[in-house]
Amino acid sequence: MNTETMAAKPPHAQLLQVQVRYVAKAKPFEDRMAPETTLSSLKSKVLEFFGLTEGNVGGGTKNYNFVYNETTVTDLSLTLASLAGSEREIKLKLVEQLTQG
Amino acid sequence: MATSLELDLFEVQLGEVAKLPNASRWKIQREKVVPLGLLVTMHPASNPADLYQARLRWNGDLFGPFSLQFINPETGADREASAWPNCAGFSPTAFVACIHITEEGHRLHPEWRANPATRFPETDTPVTFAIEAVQTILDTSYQGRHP
Repeated sequence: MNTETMAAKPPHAQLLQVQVRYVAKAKPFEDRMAPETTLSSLKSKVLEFFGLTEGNVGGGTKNYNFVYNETTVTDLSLTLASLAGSEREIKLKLVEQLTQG
Repeated sequence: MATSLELDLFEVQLGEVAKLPNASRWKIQREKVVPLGLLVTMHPASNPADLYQARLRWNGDLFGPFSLQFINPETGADREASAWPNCAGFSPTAFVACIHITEEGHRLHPEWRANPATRFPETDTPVTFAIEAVQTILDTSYQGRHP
């Protein structure tokens, strides 16, 4: 294995354990992901996992947000590492943005 | 009228609620008069001392919009604006949480049901979903108790 290959694939121990719960579904999204993974990238995978579509849906707009430690995270350029700090696992919630009357 | 299937699922779901990470934050009581009804004492993450008693009732379909009211825990009164938190979509003086997951919201906006973007989300965990959704609203949009 050359050094380039090693750099492209972080060792298993460096990966973060990621869990995302969508409150409408019983089974959470779980994966081991590189610390530099952005929330934007994670969100794509999570929406696909739960079978959700964001944006224009049936003439209206549907959006989903991550919640981390009871705070909505809107900056999707953040990396998993920047949220997790020294922790090796990160747990997020996916919530549907409210439609208000 | 709740079906036997809904009643059975309701019981199962209550067991699931107790296993949630947030479960220690809630005091949950069954309603005596409504089979699919709960009283949930909860607080916003930002203000743990601000306790609210949410009354959740599934008057129609357990998998559909639920009624959400905030009641006075001392008297049980459900028409007191001061029992309500100020949160996104809530109108405490009208006693309405006008959001797309509540029965009250859909009553005011029947057009929501026909639109995929605003209809009630598909869920296989209706009770945990309802409690967690209300908790998330409290955690992310709380602006204090209504006077």
